[in-house]
Amino acid sequence: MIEIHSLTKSFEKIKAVDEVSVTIKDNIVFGLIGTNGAGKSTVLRMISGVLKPDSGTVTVDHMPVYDNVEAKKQLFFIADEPYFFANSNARAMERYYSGVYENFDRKEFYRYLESFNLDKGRKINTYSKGMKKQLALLLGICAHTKYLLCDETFDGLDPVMRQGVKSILAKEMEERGLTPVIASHNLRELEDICDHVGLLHKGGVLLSRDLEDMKCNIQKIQCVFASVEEELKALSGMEVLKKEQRGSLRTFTVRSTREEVAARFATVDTVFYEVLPLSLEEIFISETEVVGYDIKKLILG
Amino acid sequence: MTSKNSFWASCIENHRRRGWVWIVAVLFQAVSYVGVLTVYLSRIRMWNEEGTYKTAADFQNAMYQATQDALGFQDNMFPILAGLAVIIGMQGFSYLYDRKKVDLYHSVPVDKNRRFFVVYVNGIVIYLVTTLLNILISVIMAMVQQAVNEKAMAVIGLGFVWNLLAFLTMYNTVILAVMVTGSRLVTLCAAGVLAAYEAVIYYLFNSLQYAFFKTKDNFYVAHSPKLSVLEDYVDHTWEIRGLDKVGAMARKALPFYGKWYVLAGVLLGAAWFAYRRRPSEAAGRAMAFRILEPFVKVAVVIPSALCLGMWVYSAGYGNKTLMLVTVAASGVIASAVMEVLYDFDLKSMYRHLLSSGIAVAGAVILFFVFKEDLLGYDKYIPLENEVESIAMVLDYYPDFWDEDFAYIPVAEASEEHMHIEDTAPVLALAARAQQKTYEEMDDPRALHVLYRLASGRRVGRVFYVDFSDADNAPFLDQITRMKEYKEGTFKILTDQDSFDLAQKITYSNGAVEVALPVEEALNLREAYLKDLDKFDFTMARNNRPCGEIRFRFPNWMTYTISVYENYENTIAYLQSREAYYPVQLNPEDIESITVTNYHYELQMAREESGEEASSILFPENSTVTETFYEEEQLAEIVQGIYPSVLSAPWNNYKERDDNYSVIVMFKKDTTYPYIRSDYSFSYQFMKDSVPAFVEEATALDSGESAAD
Repeated sequence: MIEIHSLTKSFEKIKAVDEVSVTIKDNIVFGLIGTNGAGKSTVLRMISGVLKPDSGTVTVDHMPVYDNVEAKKQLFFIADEPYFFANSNARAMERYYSGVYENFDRKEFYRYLESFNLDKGRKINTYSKGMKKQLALLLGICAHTKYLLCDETFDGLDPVMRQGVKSILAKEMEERGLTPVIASHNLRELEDICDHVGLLHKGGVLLSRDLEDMKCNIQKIQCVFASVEEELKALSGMEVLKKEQRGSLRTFTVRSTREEVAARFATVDTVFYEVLPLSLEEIFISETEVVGYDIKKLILG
Repeated sequence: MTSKNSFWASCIENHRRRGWVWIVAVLFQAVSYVGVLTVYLSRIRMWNEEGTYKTAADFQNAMYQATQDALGFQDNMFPILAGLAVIIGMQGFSYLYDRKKVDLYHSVPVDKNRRFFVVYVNGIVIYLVTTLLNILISVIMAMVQQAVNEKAMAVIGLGFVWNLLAFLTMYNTVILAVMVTGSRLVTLCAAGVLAAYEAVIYYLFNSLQYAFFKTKDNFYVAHSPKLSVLEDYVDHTWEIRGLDKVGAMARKALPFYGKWYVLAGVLLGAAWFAYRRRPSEAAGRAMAFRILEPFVKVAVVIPSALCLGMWVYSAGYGNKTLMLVTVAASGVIASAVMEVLYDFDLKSMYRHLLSSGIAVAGAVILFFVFKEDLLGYDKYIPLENEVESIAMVLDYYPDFWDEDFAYIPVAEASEEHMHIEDTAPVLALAARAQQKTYEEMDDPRALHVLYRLASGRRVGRVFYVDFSDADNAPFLDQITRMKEYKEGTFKILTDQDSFDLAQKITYSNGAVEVALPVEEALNLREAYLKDLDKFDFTMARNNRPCGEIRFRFPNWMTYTISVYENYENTIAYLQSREAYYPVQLNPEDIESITVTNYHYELQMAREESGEEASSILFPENSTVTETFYEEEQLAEIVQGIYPSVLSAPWNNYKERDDNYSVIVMFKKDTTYPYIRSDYSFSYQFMKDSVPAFVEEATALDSGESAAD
């Protein structure tokens, strides 16, 4: 488990991370989302032990991570722009990492390279951006660390490769309890991968929830009520996060389970009603608007 | 087998990424050793073919010496060592400049200390292997050409350690610079500043003191940079290379081995300390530690501004106002440059005005400290009870030597032998010197003085004593009559052993040169010591020597002592050996006397009228030469001339008439015991001793013009 408590980091006068506290449980996919400059990379760099926090603590399996080799053995960090040695190839990188990570699985690495059609002898500087990210991911996965920290690693992967990587991650999670922590500014990229998300904004955590919990507890309802009284009756006692109106068509986002909504609307006279699935983006828009943020501006720009 | 995680496995892994550094180091060292040896040996062979070496043994020795010089203490090696230190040091830790690299290296489970020492040790390994490889190849080359002997091998060994330790100090300096900076450009600047800062401060303060303090003197107390490897290396490599014996070389080099070893250790400690505290986010920044920025700025701007000010002061012929303006302006500009360097942004030049203001104010304040002598440097005269003893040199620089007949500077010798405890007359002269400026003195002479204070401090000063001021004479007499003064001034007084080893002794009155028996050197010394009791300021001031005795010792060391007419014991000895010839010549021995009148009065008039400098320095038709043959004329001329070769310390040089030069041509059948073959000797007229007929004959309108 990675525990982050009151983590703060400033770069000169700019507070990049401000009192962030998050717990990343084992064997889940943790998504760290936020706009550019929200502090995602800084948090990941502190988790990986690259940066020393100004204050607060980061522990990996109860071990402080900064300047601690034992804690770092549990982590593999893939930076937003992964570095490969000058004029090196995949084989040279494997040689380096297998010397550094004692559990590095060389056979698995070369097998994956083949599956992903990456030439082990080709110079990495001739790889495309996506290929470099694939290589970084494969190196990270084959290092067999408990935690894999990915900074914007999935952004830019084509759907086929994303699917391939997702399958490998799922396999590794199942087989050895891998915990990927994936930072991205793109909600759509993470929607189908993450179990738990933390939303960062201006260096602080806006929220941190299990995705399923969020999906179960927020419903989007489209309906046309028979009368205003019926509408008031339907919504009374229900936490409405968002409300839109187009003519007589009403759209509500409410905090409730699907069953509770169905039970409530069964007692109300409606011309039409439907409970719609929410995208991760919509959930965040709703959640953050509640706490006063215009998430459209934050996430979608 | 090496474990995957061992230190050495990490070293080998690190070397994979340092290939180009290996190649550069091999090339550098190949030029320094193999290249230089090839040039040296082929030069000796060429000279041998030209017949420079008379015997086979001479040629063989030259070959040995060439190998020793090429591979031992090389005088041009410093730039190579410095270049290697910069390349190896910066490349090894270059990952610290790049965030992407830092993300990789600092996230992987590798101990921070191990990473540091792996890179550090690998740098030394690169230097060691490439150096030893090239030395080995060079030695084999020399062996093939039979140009290496045991001595050369020993010197090569000493030179190898010398270069290794010099490299280490510079390498560690570069690494410290890398640790406190975040970009290559700033690292280069920082390495330069770290390596040269102490020396620059020393030379700056020294030149400021010389510029503004009248009594500044490095004669006795010369502080030199203590931590500058460049200074040590450049100054002493040549010196050690010039020594003949391996033991002497080792003795000379050993203190530097120790000093550089300690210095390298301290620098490594500082580099490691900075490395441990260096934040990863420093990659790409100018300074790794923001907190240091204002301090570094102030520490760099102040000397930079003062250096530029001193440069303008020197170029501007001592214009202090111009210097002040330069100091202030360059302080502002240097502060702005530092800010631009810190942020790599031109718009940042006006940032942090407080530290800029402190830096500029510091430079200006220091300028005034020196200009106005706010610390009272020139006014300093210790109290009598503060001074334990004094050593001094008063406008006369006699020769001193050691037991090997190697030259010793007069300051060093007088410091060792002169301990004047009756300090009152010296302190009184120092006080009197403050009452008159140099320009106000008629005949100012430098008095270098070393105050040995009771506190253990040594203070050196120079001040000027007006020899023409009669009020100074009693103090000068008091000093020069002291036994301590004479012991620290006249080597003949304290060193009997050397005189027993004299190889040649001659007496000269400026024209004759008579050999004296070397086996009687001690008798001559004894006679001279008795006469030396008569020596004091007034005697030397009012008299000119009538001759001089020159001793030649082993190692071509020579020593000359003046003989005055009242030195009756010495003269009696000389007479007993038929060696004494009066300084005044006998006209019967003279064939002719040629007098040249330079007519400097004409030049002075031209100068006053504002003519061009070239016409003043190279006047046309103003030199008149005339030769006199008649015995009566010669008899009158010899009354007023004095040999140019005889030095007359403390005698009033104004008594000599520089307007004339006199060449005395002796008869070939004279009884004078000449050594020289051209029979002509140079003399000078004394003031008001030029006969009227000479003046008339060399007047501008009557003589033979040199230009004709």
